[in-house]
Amino acid sequence: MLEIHRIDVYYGDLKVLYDVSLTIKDGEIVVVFGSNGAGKSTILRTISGLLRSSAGSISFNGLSLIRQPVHKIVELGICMVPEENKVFPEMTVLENLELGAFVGKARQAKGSTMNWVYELFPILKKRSKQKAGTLSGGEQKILLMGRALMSQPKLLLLDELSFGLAPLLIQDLFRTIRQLHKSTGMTTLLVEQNVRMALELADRGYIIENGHIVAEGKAQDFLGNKRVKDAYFGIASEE
Amino acid sequence: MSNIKEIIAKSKMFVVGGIVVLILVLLPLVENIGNNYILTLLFTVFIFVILSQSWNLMGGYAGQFNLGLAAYFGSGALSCSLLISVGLSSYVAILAGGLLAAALGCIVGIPTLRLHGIYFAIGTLAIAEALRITVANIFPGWSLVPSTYWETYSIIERYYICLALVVITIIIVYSMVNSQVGLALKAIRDDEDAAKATGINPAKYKILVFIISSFLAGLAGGVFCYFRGSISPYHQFSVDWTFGPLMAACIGGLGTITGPILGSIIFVLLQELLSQTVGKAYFIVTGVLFILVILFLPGGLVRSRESLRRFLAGLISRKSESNTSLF
Amino acid sequence: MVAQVIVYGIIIGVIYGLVATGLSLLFGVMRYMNIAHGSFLIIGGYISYWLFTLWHMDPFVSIPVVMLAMFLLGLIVYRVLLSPLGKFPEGQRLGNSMLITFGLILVLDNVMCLLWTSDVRAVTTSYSKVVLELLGVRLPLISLAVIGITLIVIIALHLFLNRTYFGKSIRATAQNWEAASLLGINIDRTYLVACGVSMALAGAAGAAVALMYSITPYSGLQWLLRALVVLVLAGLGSIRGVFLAGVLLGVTEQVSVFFIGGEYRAVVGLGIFVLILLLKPQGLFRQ
Repeated sequence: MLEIHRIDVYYGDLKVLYDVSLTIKDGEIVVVFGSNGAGKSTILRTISGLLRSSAGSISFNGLSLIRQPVHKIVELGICMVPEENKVFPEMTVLENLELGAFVGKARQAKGSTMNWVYELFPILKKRSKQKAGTLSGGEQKILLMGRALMSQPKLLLLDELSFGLAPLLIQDLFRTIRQLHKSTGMTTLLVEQNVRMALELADRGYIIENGHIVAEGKAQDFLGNKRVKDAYFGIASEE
Repeated sequence: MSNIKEIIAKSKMFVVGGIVVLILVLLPLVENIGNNYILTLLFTVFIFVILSQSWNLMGGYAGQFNLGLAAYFGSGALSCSLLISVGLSSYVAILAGGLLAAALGCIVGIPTLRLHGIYFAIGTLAIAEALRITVANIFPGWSLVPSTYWETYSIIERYYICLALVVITIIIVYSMVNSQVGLALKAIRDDEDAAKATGINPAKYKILVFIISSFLAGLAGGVFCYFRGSISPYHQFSVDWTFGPLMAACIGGLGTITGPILGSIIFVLLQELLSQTVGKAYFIVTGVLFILVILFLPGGLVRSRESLRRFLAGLISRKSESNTSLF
Repeated sequence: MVAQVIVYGIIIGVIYGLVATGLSLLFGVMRYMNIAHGSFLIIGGYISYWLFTLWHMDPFVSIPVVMLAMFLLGLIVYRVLLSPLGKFPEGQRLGNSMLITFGLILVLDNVMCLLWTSDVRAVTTSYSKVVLELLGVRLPLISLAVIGITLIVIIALHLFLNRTYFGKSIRATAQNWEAASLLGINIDRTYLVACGVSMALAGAAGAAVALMYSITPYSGLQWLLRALVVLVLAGLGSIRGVFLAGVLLGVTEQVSVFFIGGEYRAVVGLGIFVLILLLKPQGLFRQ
């Protein structure tokens, strides 16, 4: 479904991704992990169009994403849940979700999609009339997820979903993603700090360090690998 | 190795500057003395150079857009005219004009310290406008100096005074910019918090540039009054005296020494050329030029070679679709 | 007597609010400060004036026409002047927008002067002099009508921003443009429309000014300064409290003029401005 081939990404004059290649097949869950600042989020931001690559190619179901504006990429069916808090604080939960379905086809199905999202995340239904800015950090993350789902994406990009969340909430979220994947086969690309949980969820994984992809393989293989465990299964995943 | 190159470059600059000053000094002696036109034209250029250097000091180097520059120019002019009309020696009056403007700058500068970016800009604009209306109400009409004035009027003397002030201004700005103060200013401009973290006290430097900038503007106002023999408070405090130097500095190149000089020359020359035609055309052309420079030659004409290079490079490679821009 | 002063304050305050709303829409959505907003107001005034003078179009009828024309002008202005600002890094955009729009003032004001001379113009209709009296307070008819029209425009804007999908996407973009773009909202188009609406509001205000007061090519700046005061009063970036803040400024100005005298009217506003900047820069109505 998604094929990234040898991209270089600069931020100003600073090179942050070197010759990165990555593929995701329909229905897969793939995780990208690595140390802080290695470039994980940069990959997602480049796919979604917030950043531009200066070499290589990115194609989604055969269509090139290079030089496409962000909103076009969303229209194609790629939706990113960003790491930083990007809810619309002055608008209610309901309005936030509504705006999630801004893209063409998703707009007509707005009502039914919202019901589905409420089922997945009952807390959103409870808070639907509240202003998004008044929600707790974890609730806002959930809102971001729900909002992303409103656009009926074909490919879901999750940027550090677990960041700053309580362990119980992280478990809940990952369980929901698994549920989501089971029921809809949603293709998902995760960038994660909480490597163990992510690998337990995923089919395949990539390791990125200093802007280079240094390893690729099946999730189970990574889980069983002592070196990976030592390097990346930090305190956060001790449960 | 590069040190020698720097020294050579700097000495080249000094030599060129020195030659220009020499030419300007000799000019009135060579031209026939009745040619007031050229001297007046140059005088206008000089005033603009002082004002644009003054604005540039705050705006280009410290990143503080002071939209109230006219108030300091005006107060310098006003105080000079008042002092001359009570009999004070002209040179002292000019200096006093500068000092009073500096004092005003201090008074305005301290409370506005905590304002950042856009707030600072519109705050200084508001204060200047309020001053203008107040002054225009208190001192309506033209402020004349005594009639004995014109008997001893010598345009050449005024020309030299102004030229001297220009040179002094450039020396002051140059030495400030190339000292520790200049470094501190650039640090503050680029990132005030980071500057604080390295032990720089932004307040101290901001006030310093405000005072020096107002002092220079006040001197310009004083010598302007000296030259014209009469001033109109309403006009001398008008925003035109802020925006003109601002544009000259930007067109020439913010944050450089030569930028405001180049900009002022262009500005005044344009005015001369175009005022023969439809009078308003000057403003329109200047406005359009200003907009074009901001959009396509950021950094001004002085840095235009660099800007053009980047622009052309951008057309070719994909790399410079910079990931710091909006769309 | 006091009531009369307050009424006059409300009358002009409503105009201040309208002008400021247009300015704050642009700033709130794009973070660009359009210093030439006052000049666009005057353009709107001239359109209304010429429609009246040449084709005898009633000034109130001309308001929608003016607004449409200014909306289109706004689209052009955005496309030609403002969207190129996107290439600058984030920190420079606001400053450059101020510089560019400042240059625009020079161009616009002087083109207007060239075209239409600097004569003072005003729209005077057959009913311009009609004054109603209610409880001892004089209420000029046109002022009442202008208040009415302004309220309609403001309410329409409110409905647009809060009840329509596109309007909501404008608000969303104002709150967080990156998030909005990640939802498929076309930021460029949103900015385009916001700029058009901003100009339309300026135009409506200009038509009102031409009718109730007068216009000259250079009088735009004073309206802009008032609008800036209102913006800071309400809190830069807030689109909601702006109208109220405008009325508040109008009333405060009128009341102080009553005591100090007319020549210092502008100083009052500017004085309030500076005070607010120094004491409560985030404004009165900002959450």
